Amino acid sequence: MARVTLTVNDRQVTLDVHPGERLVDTLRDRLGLTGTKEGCGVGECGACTVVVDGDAVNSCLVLTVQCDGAAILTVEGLAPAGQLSRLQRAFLEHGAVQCGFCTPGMLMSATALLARNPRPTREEIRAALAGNLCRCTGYEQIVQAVEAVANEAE
Amino acid sequence: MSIRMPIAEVYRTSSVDDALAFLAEHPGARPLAGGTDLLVELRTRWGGPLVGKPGGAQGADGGGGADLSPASLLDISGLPELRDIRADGRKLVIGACARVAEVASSPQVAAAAPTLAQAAGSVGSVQIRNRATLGGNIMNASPAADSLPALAVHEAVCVLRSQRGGERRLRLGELVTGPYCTCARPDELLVAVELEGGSGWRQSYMRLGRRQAMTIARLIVAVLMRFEGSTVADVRISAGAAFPSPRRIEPAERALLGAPFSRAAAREAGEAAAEEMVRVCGIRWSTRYKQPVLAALVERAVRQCAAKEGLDEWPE
Amino acid sequence: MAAERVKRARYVGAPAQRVDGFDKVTGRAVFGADMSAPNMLWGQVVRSQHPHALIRAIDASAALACDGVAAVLTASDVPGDIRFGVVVPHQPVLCSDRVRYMGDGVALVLAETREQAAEAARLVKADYQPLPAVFDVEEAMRDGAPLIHDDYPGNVVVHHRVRKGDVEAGFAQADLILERDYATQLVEHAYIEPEAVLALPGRGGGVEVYGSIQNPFSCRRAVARVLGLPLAKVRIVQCDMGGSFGGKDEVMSAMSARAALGALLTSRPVKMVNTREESLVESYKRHPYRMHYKVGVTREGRITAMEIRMVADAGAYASQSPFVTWRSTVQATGPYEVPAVKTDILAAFTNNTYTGAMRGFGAPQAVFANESLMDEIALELGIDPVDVRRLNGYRQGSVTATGHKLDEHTVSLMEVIDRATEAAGWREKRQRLPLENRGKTIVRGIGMACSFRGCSLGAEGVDATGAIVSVQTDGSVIVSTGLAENGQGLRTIFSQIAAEELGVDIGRIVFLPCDTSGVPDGGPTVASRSTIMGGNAVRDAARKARRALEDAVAQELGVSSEEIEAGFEEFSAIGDRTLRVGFDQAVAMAWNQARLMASFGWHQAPKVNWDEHVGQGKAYFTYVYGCQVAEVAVDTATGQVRVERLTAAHDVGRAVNPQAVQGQFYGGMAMGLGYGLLEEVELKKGATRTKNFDQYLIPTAMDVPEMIPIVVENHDPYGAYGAKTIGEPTCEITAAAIANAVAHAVGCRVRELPLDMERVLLGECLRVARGERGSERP
Repeated sequence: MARVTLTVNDRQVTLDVHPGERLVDTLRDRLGLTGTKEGCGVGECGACTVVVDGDAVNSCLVLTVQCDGAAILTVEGLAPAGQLSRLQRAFLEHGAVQCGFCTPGMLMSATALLARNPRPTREEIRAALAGNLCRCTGYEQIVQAVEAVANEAE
Repeated sequence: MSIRMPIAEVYRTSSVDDALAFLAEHPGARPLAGGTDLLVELRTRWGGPLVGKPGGAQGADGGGGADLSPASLLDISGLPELRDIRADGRKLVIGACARVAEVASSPQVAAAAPTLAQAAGSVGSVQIRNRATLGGNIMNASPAADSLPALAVHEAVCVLRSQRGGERRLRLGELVTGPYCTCARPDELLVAVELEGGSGWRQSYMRLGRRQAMTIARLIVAVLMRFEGSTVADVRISAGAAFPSPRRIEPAERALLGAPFSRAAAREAGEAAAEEMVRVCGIRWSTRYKQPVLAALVERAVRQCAAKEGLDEWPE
Repeated sequence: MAAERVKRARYVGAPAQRVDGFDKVTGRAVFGADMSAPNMLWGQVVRSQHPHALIRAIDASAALACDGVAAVLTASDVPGDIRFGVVVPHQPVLCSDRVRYMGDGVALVLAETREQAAEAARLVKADYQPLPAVFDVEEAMRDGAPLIHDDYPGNVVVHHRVRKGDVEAGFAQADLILERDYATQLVEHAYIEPEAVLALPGRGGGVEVYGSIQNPFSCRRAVARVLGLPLAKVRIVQCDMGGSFGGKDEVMSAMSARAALGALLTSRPVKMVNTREESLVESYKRHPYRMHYKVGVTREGRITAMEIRMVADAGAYASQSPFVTWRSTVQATGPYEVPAVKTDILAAFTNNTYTGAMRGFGAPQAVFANESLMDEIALELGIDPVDVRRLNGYRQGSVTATGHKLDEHTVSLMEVIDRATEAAGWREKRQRLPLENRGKTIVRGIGMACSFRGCSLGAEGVDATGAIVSVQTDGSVIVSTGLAENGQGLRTIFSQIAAEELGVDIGRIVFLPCDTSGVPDGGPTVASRSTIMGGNAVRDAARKARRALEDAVAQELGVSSEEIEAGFEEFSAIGDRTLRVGFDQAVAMAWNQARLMASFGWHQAPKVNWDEHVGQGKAYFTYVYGCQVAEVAVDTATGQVRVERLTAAHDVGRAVNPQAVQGQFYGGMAMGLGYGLLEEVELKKGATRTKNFDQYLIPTAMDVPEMIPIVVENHDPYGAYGAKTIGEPTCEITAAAIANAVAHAVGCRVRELPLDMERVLLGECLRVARGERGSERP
């Protein structure tokens, strides 16, 4: 067991973790943040995407012990007081959500993109979302949603 | 709920010297950087999939060793001294733990070795590039690794260090000996890669995958060319997913070197590259496809270099 | 009645936001794997290690000795029938004496943690005696082939026939006869959420199961049968679903029954979640088809006769194969008038992964073949592909190959063809691209495909469904239905319809998850039947609830019910507009008058009929028509195909939610693109080689092209507000359109899906697939 301190959605937590524990399991099973999903376990589907120190990563391929001291943002952190972020609202307005299983990961990838590049082109959006598989939407309305937020940026 | 990786210990190190000491004392330990290959392998080995016969009796699982004992890992991802990317005269020095995303966006890499920047940009997804490291891409030694052909044409030198043996500098082709095999000793750590940069190269990197993103390369071609007038003064050609280990394809280079550029010579270089692949690998299930396609891609990459010099047109 | 007067629709036809959207963008939606319960156990299935073998014995002693293991269950622990199945109940929940494919379960380990369950599962020793296995459908039907099920001679699951007109005479009239073979591949649904359930011991010795269950009622039948319980003691509640596409039916019946068995026998909750690898190995797939077409045409391009034979690989169990292949019989000729037709469609058992329902359900295979064939006819005769389709295509009053005269709805085939081809610039591009391609290695092409598709179940079986609309005393409204939300947006559509019919703000509506103990069995959520069937049931229930409120208002105002008109959020007297009553007030009146404010809606599909000996009848009560145009670039040096643009026109009857309809267009086309270019489950001697998303490739955001949706609306007399269906039509024709575009670009035709790089470059597959065909993978 190793002791790690994480800042998850602006809340600091200290946990004793097994060296083989994955970040996705820490979030879902120990912190109850089940908004982060697991679809493949091998970093291909992106459903488990969270933002670690500003970077979108697959939380199924990160060991929690590697995150000591890290700041982690999950989908639950996007609307801390129930107030949806502009991106979340755009997802609803553009019909970017169908089954919703890929949605948290999509939101996290797009959030990381917009933080780094507030006005991405359509091609940049598609490239940034290429690591998040969606089987329902054909991606079009998701790209439209991110584009809408980008178009509003200063 | 969890899928727990078969890991007995993750040693978080604070310095390269400390890491080398740990490796010297724990010969079975494996360095962990981004984990994007290693953790997938450990999950499969543990049998996380829980299908088929344990221990990979079906073959395709890569778990042929049936080694279910927990791994001991050395986490080097937090070492800032291994993440540096810097230009050192004509040399480009990239720390082994530089993330693939950092390599892809580094101005130094873009200036000295745009093929490598392009290669790094085509690795996996944003999420993978944010974790994966250049050193990991090399040490995993996949024949389809995106960075290896780019590193090969830049005559990359891999810097290994160990407590016992000090520093060892190996050319990429010496370090990577075959599919998923390197000659690094268990106590050695890859700390940096040195590339011969330099201006005046025309460069081309082509990657063919089944999908437009997030897919293992079917074939990769990297070409550097230097022209004097219309004459090919220097040329370096490498290919990925075509050879068991990274190398320059000399028969293809010979078809171009010292002669005026022509489309016929470009075609000849392509055919020579494909023949070399067949000579080295023999006839395989995929040869009927890969032989003509490698020839076409090498031809195309050479033409693209020539086009950048104003000697040809590509794309059509 | 006055209230029945046509009003301007407020919600139907408007782009309502998803009613479950807030939960889904905040991470609050509860999917199967997000459920847990105090004191729960983890269930881990031990699966077969052979594609076909007898089980001599199962030794669980080593597993039972492991830390944390509560029980190891086998078929002998099953109190009821070990076998379940929607059509043929012969699929074992746990195999007792024989395994028939690599995904079969032989034991269930229950332990305190997932880790412990997995560890112990590895130690369960099953002693097998391998049996001869068969992986090729044609071989399976040959004399002497190993029998997969003893009661199915020749391994034939089903044989559907269509006999119409005199085929020989038809061929005699033809100027040209073409014979072509086409083949399609084994395909995975690839819902992003792997299967998950939580089973709990229920009241009175029953069980409750929560999970990613597409069809809660068929799941309930399976669980009840396996546990030997009455249906009333088995409660299935659907969680939020991370996609299904037809795929979370039998595989979920098996998982639910296993978990419920564990809960029943241990008296503890049992959770199970598949890894992606388990999902790919166990879950059923889309049928691979081999199809032979013989067609006769006149010089002008008019079809005189068709003879069709298709063989589908059913894999190890019957599942939905009889129904899937039946739909193929109706669509086999495409939407074209053919005077003489002889169709034989068979499904055969093999030891491959079993196949069942998947979005399109027997249509994408047939469409790929018949739409490729239409282009081949056009090429042979030097006619534009649009013209050959216009010449033969269904018009008002046409009679289908299966003998249905199309005169009850608008036959809009010509309209969708015109709309799609005009928007895509068909005529100009069809001429220009071949000229531009000369001398190029990257060449471009444009291709099209059409279909007509029967709505809902048709003559497959009983087709009816129900809904409950319950007005609460404060004016909020609870809606529940027997159909289930699988991600497609059913909750939103039904909420829109309920709000429309009640005349209230949609914010009043709360839609409950499908709960088998709370609503009556409304059949499965399949065949794109939710809007057309469930929409009508919700409308019926809401209308009845509204009438109760109208009666209450009428009584209060001292007028007759006929004199009350429902507006938005209010009721008023027709004669005297000053007499207005707000919705909340009306609810209070009804409550004070002790009226029932909950009502039940039911909708039965219009009658259909079918004569299975000749394959003639009214197969479906209505059809949807669609046309898609694909524009592609093909790298002739590598065989790589890039789809640059897709244009789709589909007649949806009426778009209840235009944004959701567009979502179905985009999603369907993307799935069709994957079918056309990328996807193929590879089996080697029955073992799945494409075990995760690194091997099984579905389109990414970078792979989808520009997509142009054209929503055509011709009110259908049987639809809810005129609405028909859209989920499947958008998905079934894309691959065929892409294949036709590739043929136009490169000048030669690939008759096998997917159009991967090897097939396009070399004309054949180099990889292992469909049993033993193809060569080795490294």
